[in-house]
Amino acid sequence: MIQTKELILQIATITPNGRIDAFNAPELRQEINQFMDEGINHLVIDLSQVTFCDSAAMAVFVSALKRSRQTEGDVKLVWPTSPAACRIFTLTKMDRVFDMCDSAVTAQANFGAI
Amino acid sequence: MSWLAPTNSLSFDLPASYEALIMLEKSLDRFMEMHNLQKSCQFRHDLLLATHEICANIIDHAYMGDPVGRISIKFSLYSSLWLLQIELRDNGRSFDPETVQQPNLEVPQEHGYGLFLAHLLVDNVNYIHHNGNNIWQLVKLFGLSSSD
Repeated sequence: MIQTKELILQIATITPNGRIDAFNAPELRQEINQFMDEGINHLVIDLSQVTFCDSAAMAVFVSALKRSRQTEGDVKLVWPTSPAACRIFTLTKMDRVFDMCDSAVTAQANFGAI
Repeated sequence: MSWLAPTNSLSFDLPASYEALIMLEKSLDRFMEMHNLQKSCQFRHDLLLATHEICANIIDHAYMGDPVGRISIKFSLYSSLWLLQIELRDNGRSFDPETVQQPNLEVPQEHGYGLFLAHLLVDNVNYIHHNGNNIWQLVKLFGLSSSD
């Protein structure tokens, strides 16, 4: 899972690539926690380049969401480009829990002024 | 469907580790390609995710993370029945399906979605414990399925 990270105006954007599953989800969790340990609690996880997510990936997203909201932050997700990869979000109704955005730019803008 | 011989089948086994599960994708793709199952991306993804989730449960719960365990996997194509069956076997701890609670979709949780997802992604999920083995059978219909 190659990923890119950027921090702009106190919003961290993480862009994983490929699969996020039980094998590499801990790595993503660690990256997210690193930002949060530094006080960054506004995150965008751009899943547009992700081709496969399992429930372990969902656990990372939910954990991040819960932690961010403890300090009045939030986690926004960008939809995977692949319709098949979007399925897990609709089946678990996580698309109603998260602010699911069509792009990282939209997700960042949805945070408004921080 | 043990009374009906499959049209084609492929059997192999994997170590019970998350790292090994990537082989599921490659093996399923190869099996589908070999038998000209040109199914939709959603069909393939649903079958793969359901199988992956059950395997993850086997790793976490049946073997409790013990990497010595192995998962036996069998893909079976039943052309006359228009279905593909995936059978997963392990000899870890047994499981009582009655004890599994449905996740509350109104309240996001970090665990407990695996079996729930499997039931939604394929047409039938069956579990039996027999002769010290846990046996999962996932069945997905093709041709008539809306995800096809």
